[in-house]
Amino acid sequence: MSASTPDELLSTFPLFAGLAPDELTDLARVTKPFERRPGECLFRQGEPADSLYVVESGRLESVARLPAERELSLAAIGPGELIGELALVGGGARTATVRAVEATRGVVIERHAFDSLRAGLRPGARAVMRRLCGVVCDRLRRRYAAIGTGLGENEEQAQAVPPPRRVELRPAAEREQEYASRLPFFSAFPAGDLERLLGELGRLELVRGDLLVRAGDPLDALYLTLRGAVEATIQRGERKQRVRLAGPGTGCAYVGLIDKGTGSVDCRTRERAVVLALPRDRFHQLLQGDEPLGHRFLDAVQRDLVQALRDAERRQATLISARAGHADSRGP
Amino acid sequence: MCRALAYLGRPILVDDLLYGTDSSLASQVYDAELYAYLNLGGFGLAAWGEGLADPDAPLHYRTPSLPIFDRNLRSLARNLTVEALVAHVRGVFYEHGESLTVHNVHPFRFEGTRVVLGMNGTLSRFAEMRYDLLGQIRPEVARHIEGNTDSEWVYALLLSQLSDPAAPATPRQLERATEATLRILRETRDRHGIDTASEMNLLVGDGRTIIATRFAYDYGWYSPEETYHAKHRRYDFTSLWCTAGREYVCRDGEWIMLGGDRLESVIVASEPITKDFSTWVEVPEYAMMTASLRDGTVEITARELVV
Repeated sequence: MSASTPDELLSTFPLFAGLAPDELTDLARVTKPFERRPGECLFRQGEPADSLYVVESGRLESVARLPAERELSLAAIGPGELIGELALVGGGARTATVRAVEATRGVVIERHAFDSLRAGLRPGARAVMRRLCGVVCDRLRRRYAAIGTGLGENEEQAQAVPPPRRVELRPAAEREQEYASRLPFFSAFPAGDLERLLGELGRLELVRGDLLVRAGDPLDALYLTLRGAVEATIQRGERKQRVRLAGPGTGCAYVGLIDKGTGSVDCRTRERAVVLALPRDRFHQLLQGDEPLGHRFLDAVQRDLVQALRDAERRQATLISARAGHADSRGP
Repeated sequence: MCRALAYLGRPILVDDLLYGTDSSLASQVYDAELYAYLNLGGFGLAAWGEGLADPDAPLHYRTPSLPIFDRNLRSLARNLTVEALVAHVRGVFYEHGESLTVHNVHPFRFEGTRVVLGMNGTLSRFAEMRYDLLGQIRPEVARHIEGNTDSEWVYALLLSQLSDPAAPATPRQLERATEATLRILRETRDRHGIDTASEMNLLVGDGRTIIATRFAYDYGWYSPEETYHAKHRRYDFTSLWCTAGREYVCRDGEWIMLGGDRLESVIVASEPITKDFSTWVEVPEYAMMTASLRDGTVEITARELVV
């Protein structure tokens, strides 16, 4: 991969491909080159996640630490791939260490620089954020697949789950706006936007154990827990692993919704619950559109999606530690 | 939210667990990583070790003071090596109704018993349940209750589920007693129509076994007068973390659990005691974890709690 200017280099990466020239120029302005020799770290697990790396040439590996001096090899990373994309969305701490296996070079976009573009509602930044949604969703799907494999049986052997019970969709209650405004998904919406969004959400009242989403089915809506809890699980044969407990202000299933594929997880209420639902078509309209409500909606989806990925990573670490002899783990 | 820690395994200096690390239990009084508030209600520990005069009875230390100001505790910790520990920093609401006395400090241990309990959580509307619970607590246990916390009543309830609270208990007996306690509390809540969130992270220990629960009743349901918790803590479901390996040591300036052929040491805590979480794993929600020591090896099991 070779390019003469930062704009041209960025345009060669799928994340940025197709952006207008002025948008590429905006992004190129906030990129800096990086180089690493074999064995050098790009960043270490636990450090602040404050930048996205795009690999131009070379090869790296990402590993996560586990208790008792063990490591989990997560991925090999080559030219054209992204590293640390969660930094642009969620910040927090790095969840893996990435080090160069071969001499590696590329460009880095720091979060604060990208934030200033995003805050200015630059179209290029919005386009990248939408694509990042897809990248994180793909990461999540692969993570769920790895957890499924870790459970030890093929997907075909998964226990048959009966279809979800049909539930009655009711309008969201007006009095819930003040409560919702304190919850993670909704807290960044100004009052007017939140009122509009809640007005578009249906409301499901569910008892404990109700099945909301079945793995392998297409997702018909975004489901956000308002009260209670919904657990997302992966089941293989008799073994089941919880990958997320979606409490108030969080969503239980994004894989299959964002990428318009089929779902990877069963979602069942762990407590009685009130769940808000946004139909799939409106979800994509908000995500892809250019209305101000859509911008905030995209930010909220991304934050929660990244959190879902981090939840899955923590659970995978627990599962692997248990398998390595730390704990004989039974149930989710 | 309180902060709590339990250790089982190779001999370790108490100072290493309470003060030594960069996010130590003592520093969690004022700078917990996962919780935004101060924990000002006091400190307690129960410790077991071969060097103590009676290896079966814990050294029990409780004070309404805070470990960061407690020079006696620091001196003790620097000179005390133990094989098992349950330690607790008590969090209290910032309100006049709180009672900051030594009787309310965890871990609880009634005279003559071997089991101690530290709790991280709150039983909603406990005042309505309290005297209903009395019928489930043995009179010889109930008479030891000194304080006014829900946690001490949970402890009394748990002791009452053991066939003999003064006798040694197997890990399985402690598990059953813990489950029975949670079930009785669930039934009592139901009878009183209590249906708002109550966290029940328990650390139960007797020097040979640790039972740790990460559990909540009606998680995600908050009463109008309660605040939604997520703004004050990183994980809305009260957290519990674990690390296990051969030995917990400081190597090249970093506190880690060393690897080895077998598990010989385990730490369970409300949150990691290092700012770097990478060598800790999260205990799943609604889980009960049991760690028991046998012939120098720690055996760990974890399972879903359905009560």
